[in-house]
Amino acid sequence: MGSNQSTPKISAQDRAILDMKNQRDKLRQYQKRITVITDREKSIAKECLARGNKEKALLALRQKKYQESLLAKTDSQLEQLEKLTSSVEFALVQKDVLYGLKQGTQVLQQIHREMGGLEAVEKLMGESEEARAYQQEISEALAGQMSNEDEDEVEDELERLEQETVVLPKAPSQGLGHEVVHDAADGIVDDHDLPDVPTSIAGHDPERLQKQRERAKARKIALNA
Amino acid sequence: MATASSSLTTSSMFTFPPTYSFPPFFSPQPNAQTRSAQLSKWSSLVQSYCRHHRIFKLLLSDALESPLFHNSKLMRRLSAHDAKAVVDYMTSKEGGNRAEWIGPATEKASAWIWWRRPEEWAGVLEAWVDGTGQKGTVLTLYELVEGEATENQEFHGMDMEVLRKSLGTLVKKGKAQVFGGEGQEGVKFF
Amino acid sequence: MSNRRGVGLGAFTNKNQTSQSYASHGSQLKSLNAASLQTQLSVFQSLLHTFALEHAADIKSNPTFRAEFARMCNAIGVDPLAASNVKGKRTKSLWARVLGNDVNDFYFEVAVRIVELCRATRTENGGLLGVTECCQMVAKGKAIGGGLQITEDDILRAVKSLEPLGSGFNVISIGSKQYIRSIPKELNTDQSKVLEVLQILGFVTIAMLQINLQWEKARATTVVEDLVADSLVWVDVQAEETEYWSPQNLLDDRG
Repeated sequence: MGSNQSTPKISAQDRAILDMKNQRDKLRQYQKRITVITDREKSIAKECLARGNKEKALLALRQKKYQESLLAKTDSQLEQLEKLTSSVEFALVQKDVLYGLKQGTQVLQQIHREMGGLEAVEKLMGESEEARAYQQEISEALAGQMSNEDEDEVEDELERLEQETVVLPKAPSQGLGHEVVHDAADGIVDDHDLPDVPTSIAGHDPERLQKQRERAKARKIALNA
Repeated sequence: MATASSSLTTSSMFTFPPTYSFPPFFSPQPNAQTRSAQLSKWSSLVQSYCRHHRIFKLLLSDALESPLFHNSKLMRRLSAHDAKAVVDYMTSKEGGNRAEWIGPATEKASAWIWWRRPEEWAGVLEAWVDGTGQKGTVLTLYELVEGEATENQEFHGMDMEVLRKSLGTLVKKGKAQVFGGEGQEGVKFF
Repeated sequence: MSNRRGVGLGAFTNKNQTSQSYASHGSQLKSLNAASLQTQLSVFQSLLHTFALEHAADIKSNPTFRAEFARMCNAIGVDPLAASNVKGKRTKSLWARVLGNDVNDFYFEVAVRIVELCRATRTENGGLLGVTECCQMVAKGKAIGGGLQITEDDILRAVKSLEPLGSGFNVISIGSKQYIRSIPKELNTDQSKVLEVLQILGFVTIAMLQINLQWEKARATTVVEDLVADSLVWVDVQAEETEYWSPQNLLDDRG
């Protein structure tokens, strides 16, 4: 029930509830007694009337009325007491439920901690995601499914490598006019022609696009030849 | 209603078994086999009679004058000696432990008649408490046997002493706990 | 042609021939009859079989129907419960073979209940259970299982079926009443006489026996004491004179 004790004990709240219930029982017993008295008074009144003793009958009825008012009072007392008892019992139940919730949350937290926290979880996810993507890329490449873009990238890399080995800057005869040799990867930039060269990473920058177009053209010519 | 005493008034008609109208039933049988059959029948009769009238404690002196041991129509009755013998049989293992003498063994004036043994009552109580979802709540002993909620239960109006005994068996098993002041006890079922 | 005259030596040969032809003709007829009888019987058997299967439910539940059916079988000379326990072999009784197991089981069920009831009442009636009382108790169904609608006829049949088991159960008649005896003790004439009287009057005293049967006191006392010793009667000491009652009306609600 939320209690993790093996040997059941009687708590102070239990005793309090018992007290309240005992009071309730006493009231009920009292009510039973009163009812017996009122019934008796009623039959006495009947008898007296039958014998013609109106005075006595009236007295008996008055008694009965008085007892009944007592009964009504005890009724309301009983009601209050019962309400109190139920709300205490309910509070106890709530307490247990709350306790249970708390326990549950604690356990969850502990589990989280052991799992390395949220970031660790994410990382784990990411790592596995990366690894999976990498795997997929390799397999695609091996299957010869590289797109033009990939080809470009590969060739890009090749150029960079070449640049590393060959000190001389490439002669402008390589390409058409406004060629700008730039490489963001290793930082060797020959950009004397242009004021500021965007040290942009390989992406969708216009120079790069143009270069791609030219290369594509070259390839086409090579093919047609 | 005083249920602690043996109220032997017939509230509603109790139908006696045919054996009750058999005159030799009230005489101790000399043949051993017949005797044991007779005692067994008396035990059943006493139990069903007490069950019908909700008698928990049998006062022998009263019982000897009641229809239980005195068949006025037949003009036959069980002698005090024989009545004691019947109860003795019921207290024995052979008789199924269906009775228990109260007070010193020399007196044998009154006895508990276990038409339901305390353990059996404990089972009934436990079942009711469980069925009404009251396990874990505190109940007074008074409300168990006199409360409105138990009016149509078999244990309603049960003798307080018997209630204590049967709850005792549950306490021993760790299935309940009785606490509180004398005459104001409460019980909590687990 | 001269052979026919039948006189002289020729007559002897004739006679032989004639008797021979008569004999062969006779046996021919016999076998023909036997064959047709056989066919008739097998036809009848299969009809009986069909009938029984169709009405198995009725046979089991309706005691009158069952009794009539049993009487029919007996009229043909067929004992339905015979050969039911021949040395524990596979041979089933006619009931079982022809009618299927239901009816056979039914009588065994009744027999089981009877045995159970006799055992339960032995201490109070000394091993003699009235057939009428037994029938009532089975109908009330206080033995194993529920109540069964049966007749005294069924009880007698069921007890009979127990015979081959060597169970020691049999039916005896005392006076106008029949009892199932489950105890091997034999009753002598005096004892049977007293039991007869008990049937009519319900109880006896020694004085009554003296007056009505002209027995000496000693003789009456002996018989009565024997009956008590066999737990066949109950004693009532609260009467003017000690009374001895028949336990046959003790068969009330059990259990």
